[in-house]
Amino acid sequence: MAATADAHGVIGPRFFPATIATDDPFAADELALPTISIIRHRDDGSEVTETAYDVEYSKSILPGFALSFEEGYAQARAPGAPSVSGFDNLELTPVLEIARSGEHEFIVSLAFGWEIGGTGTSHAGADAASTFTPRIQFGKGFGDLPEPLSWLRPFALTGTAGYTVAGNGAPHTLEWGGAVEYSLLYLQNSVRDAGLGPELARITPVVEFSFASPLDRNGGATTGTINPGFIWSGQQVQIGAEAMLPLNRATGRNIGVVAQLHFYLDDIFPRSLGRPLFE
Amino acid sequence: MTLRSWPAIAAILLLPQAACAHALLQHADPGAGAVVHGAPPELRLEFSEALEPASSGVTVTDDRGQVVSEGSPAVSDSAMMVRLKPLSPGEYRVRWHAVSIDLHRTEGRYSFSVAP
Repeated sequence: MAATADAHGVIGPRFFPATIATDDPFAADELALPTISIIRHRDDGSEVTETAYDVEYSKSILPGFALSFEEGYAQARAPGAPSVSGFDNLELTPVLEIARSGEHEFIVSLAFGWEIGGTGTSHAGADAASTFTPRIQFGKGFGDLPEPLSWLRPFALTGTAGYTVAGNGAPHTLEWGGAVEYSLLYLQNSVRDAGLGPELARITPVVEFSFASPLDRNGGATTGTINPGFIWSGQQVQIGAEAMLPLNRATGRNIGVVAQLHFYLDDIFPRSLGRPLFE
Repeated sequence: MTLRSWPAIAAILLLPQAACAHALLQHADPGAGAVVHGAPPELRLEFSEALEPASSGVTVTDDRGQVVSEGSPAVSDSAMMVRLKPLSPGEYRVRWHAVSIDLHRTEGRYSFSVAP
């Protein structure tokens, strides 16, 4: 009998959808194409509207180990000024799952982000020097809460913390964030049949948070966004959309928006591209 | 392997292999959190995908951990059914695991109650 494999984002009875603003802790075969964000912020006294398009492809090499490739393209427009556009540096990130507990709906992984300097468009802001970000990531579902707290069991939390070292002398930065998720599917199947129906149960309301805290070299205050939104998970794709609320004035004053179309390659190509290269 | 075989190989690798995916539980009877009046004769689970019968299963236990499901479940396409022993009033726990035909495994657990 051929070996079975855990479905993407599944740990025990819990399904974690792929989050948009932060990396989830799974090493899976996935394609996010595209992720589109629009936000307006002040830059040198001008209101700049920045539209970014991003693609990320993750390929499992071994069960529990994957390589992720990410590339982006951004356009910045300001009134009365020519637009500036170009590619970000390519980012390569290996991800290794180091602990899993289906009983406690818990997973931990390590990642090492390498933003490859000089691979993007320099006049659009892509740095010539590389940036390295080792990260730890986790996911925890609350299905093991005691019976008096069973109404909280559909909740899950993901988190990520990374230490960024930039080759251009920029401040070392703690990049951290995560997501609070409420799984209607988990409510329906593991807590109480609320009569939602299979399609409505595929929606996961989510609040993501993504922050950057400079640690030295007068890097300034923590900036970032808090993103309330939803993710709808189909059998082979998921769609998500979130508002981007600035954390503080240092981040900006305007609300942005981000949306993503995400493909579960392990379900689309279960016997070829969607399986680890080595098993 | 000749040059002419590469387009066929690429097609096999790149074309989606039928509409298959991991099996999500779509309906259960008795369902999660249900209070059933009178002992149900069987537990039935319905999934989003067809199942591998040999790799899928379900167990029902009482509050002392004693198994109250009888034998192996019957799997038919995307449904799984297991007969139950006569159940006394109380709480029962269901644990299931399902392997879809694309060999992805999912699992789940929930409780239901039997009332007089």
